[in-house]
Amino acid sequence: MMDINLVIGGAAGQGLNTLETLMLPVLKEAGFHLFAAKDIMSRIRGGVNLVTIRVAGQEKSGYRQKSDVFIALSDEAFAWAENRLTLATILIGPATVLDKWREKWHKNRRYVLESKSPGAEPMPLNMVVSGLIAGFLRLDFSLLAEKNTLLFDAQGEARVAANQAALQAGYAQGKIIDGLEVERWSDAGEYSLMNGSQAVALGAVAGGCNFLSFYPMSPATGVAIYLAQRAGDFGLVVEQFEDEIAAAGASIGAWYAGARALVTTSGGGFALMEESISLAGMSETPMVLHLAQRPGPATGLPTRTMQGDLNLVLHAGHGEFPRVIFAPGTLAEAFYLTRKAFNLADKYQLPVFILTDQFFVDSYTCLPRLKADGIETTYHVVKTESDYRRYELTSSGVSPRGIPGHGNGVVIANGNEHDEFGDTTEDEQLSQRMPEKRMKKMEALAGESLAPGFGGHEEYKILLICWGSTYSTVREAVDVSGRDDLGLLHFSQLWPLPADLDSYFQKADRIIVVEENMTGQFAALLQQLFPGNRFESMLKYNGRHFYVEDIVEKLEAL
Amino acid sequence: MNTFVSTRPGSKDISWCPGCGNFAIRNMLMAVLADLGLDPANVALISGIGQAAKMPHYIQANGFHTLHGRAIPIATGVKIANPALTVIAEGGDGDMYAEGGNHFLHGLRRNADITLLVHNNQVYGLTKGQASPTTMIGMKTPAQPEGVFEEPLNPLALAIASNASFVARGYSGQADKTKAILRQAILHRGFSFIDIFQPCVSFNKVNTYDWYEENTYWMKDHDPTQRGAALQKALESFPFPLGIFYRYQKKTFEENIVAYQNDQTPLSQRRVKIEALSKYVNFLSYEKTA
Repeated sequence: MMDINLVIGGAAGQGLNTLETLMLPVLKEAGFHLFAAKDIMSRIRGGVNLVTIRVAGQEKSGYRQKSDVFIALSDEAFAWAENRLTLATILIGPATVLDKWREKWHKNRRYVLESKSPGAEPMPLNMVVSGLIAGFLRLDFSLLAEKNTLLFDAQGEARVAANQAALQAGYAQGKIIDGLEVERWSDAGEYSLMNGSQAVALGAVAGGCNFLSFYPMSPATGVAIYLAQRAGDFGLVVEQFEDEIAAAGASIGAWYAGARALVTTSGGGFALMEESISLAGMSETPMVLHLAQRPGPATGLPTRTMQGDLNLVLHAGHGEFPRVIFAPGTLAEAFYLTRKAFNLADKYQLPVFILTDQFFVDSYTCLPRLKADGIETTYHVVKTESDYRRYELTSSGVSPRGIPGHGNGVVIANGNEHDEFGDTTEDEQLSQRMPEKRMKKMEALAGESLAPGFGGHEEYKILLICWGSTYSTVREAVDVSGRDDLGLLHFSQLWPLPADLDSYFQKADRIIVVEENMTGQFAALLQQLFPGNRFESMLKYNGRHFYVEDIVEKLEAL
Repeated sequence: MNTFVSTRPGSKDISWCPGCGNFAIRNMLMAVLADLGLDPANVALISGIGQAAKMPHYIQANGFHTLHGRAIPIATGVKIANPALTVIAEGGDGDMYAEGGNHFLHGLRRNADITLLVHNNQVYGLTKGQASPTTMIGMKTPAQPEGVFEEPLNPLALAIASNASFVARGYSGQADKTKAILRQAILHRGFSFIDIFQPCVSFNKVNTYDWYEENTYWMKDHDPTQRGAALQKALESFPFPLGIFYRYQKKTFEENIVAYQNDQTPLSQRRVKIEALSKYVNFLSYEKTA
């Protein structure tokens, strides 16, 4: 087989996360391409969590709905995931679970998962399942043993030994399952494995980030946790503040004094940060903010996904000021665009946003090895003279940025309208010239805007547009649909947009914007900017990422 | 060098009322900063919103006039970026205790080496005379026409209860003694907090210069290392004690940060650590389980 889509369902607390942590590196080292996503409930114990692991012999990162193998560790998981099953799905689970669903799914191949020999203590189910996966994929058991020791060593020999026994028991059960062997991927060695949080975090470090402030909020916290645990190595400060308002403020203070700061949050936290974003706009303080979207309004669906905050980010903060919005479509883009965000924020002295979502930050995938060396990180801070003017009026709108303690001058920043020195003013002329100076930066920024990536057929009649995290899934759906009249345009920069997009639009009979929100926010933005075209929407907004099958079905109906 | 003047090229008029206590506090601050031999280029005044928060415009030093209530977190960011700077967060009682109340509490806990200067005139001046968190019970204002009935906040007791590392109260009408406190606060390593009583001549007709003279006194023989005694003093009122209430030397926020334990370079001068980055970008990633 070229790929199998493996879905494992169980209750929170049954160890699916640990299974993923153990198995993804094992599978990667065994020579597969991987894509793994999480479908989790907002609770610590119980409920239903699903882990989807797509094991492939080639680069495949689309999110498939139908599973080739479904491993259910609880009744509830079986019920919850029925829409992931077909008659061809191989069902695996404890006898109690399989028996209950036997009648409805009696035509499917089934394997009973044994986690306990007669008279013996039950084994950790997640380890039995891990062994089983390795067994049916015909992996070398030593890979499992090695990773088990590495991961659980700190928890003592007893834990390692118990895991080892469970892994072996599962492995033996997996070995008898036929027909699931996946071809190995020849490029595996050239690829890394990480999730979206790590890609954003590492991109920030590559961009010179040395300060991260946050207040915990799913799903954005992963970036902070990752960097907090490596703060010593990277030489950066990570601080959890008392609230999002303080986190955003500290970031502004840090940039003002010459650090490169990152804020990571989700929509609810971002809402609290808006006054700081406005302050960054007025005081021309650089700011880089990562927003991992989840469904709102308010607390919404805390552990699920949505592309519902584009309008929030586009319009965040009162008053008018320039900004930049990136929305990476792949992990490599997340790395390179986050890095770029720091250089742009520094150069133009404005807020730069990186818009991801729960699906993106929590998904693992293989990506071409990132380049850490040869990175051009540009710094734009100038040494001040005694007559330094922080808000000097220039033709580009960009004033040379000084920082306290670097040079003889003093740096006065101000959230009130100000003169060139930074002192508060209500002067009629300055009150017009200063906003114009700030907005002037949009001209150069528009010139630097990333062009959208084009895929599909050159001679298209229907142009699909998507942005951010949906890229891989939409891309695969276009391929799978087999239609030869589809073009695909993916935007990883949402603001400002390049001006010369009309040529893409005019070639199409229909333009359809695919996004995960209810009102078609990006479609509306395009409609406003390019009024001569008609932008239709293809939407999903139930807190779940699009499946490849969702889009294929809709494409077939066009 | 070593001169802290009150104007910049193009400086316009000062928007404080004649007789405002802010003038005295500004003069004290300029004198102490100069006396300590500091360079304006290495001092950063971070203020919120309000009349007191206009200070960065009336002293020639680095400054950031930010948002209502937010001076403390912003000042914390400044200090983290460059610990060599002398960082002073400044604002009024409404700014720091109402809008910024949460940051005040957590600034005390965090203990970054910054000085917090609160101009406490027990009223909102910028917005023309509404009650503040320290307005006394019974005072009538246009917004509280029946008189304030909420218990006034006791910022000193709060700070001492939080085991803050430097807690003091001064009075703008008593420059020499208040300057001495200010000097010690700036020299103190850790979060130093001074509440400074200050008359608002336009909007507070209760807490006037005469009132403060009659209702305050300077502590004698108080041992600021004793937390219990400090709290007792902070609970005293009518008259209100002035002076240093509590002083406790402990590790600062910066000293606790792992990134500064390994390397003293200010963040503002740090560059990308390619080696560390290379190690992680090609790492076959997985996390240790708990």
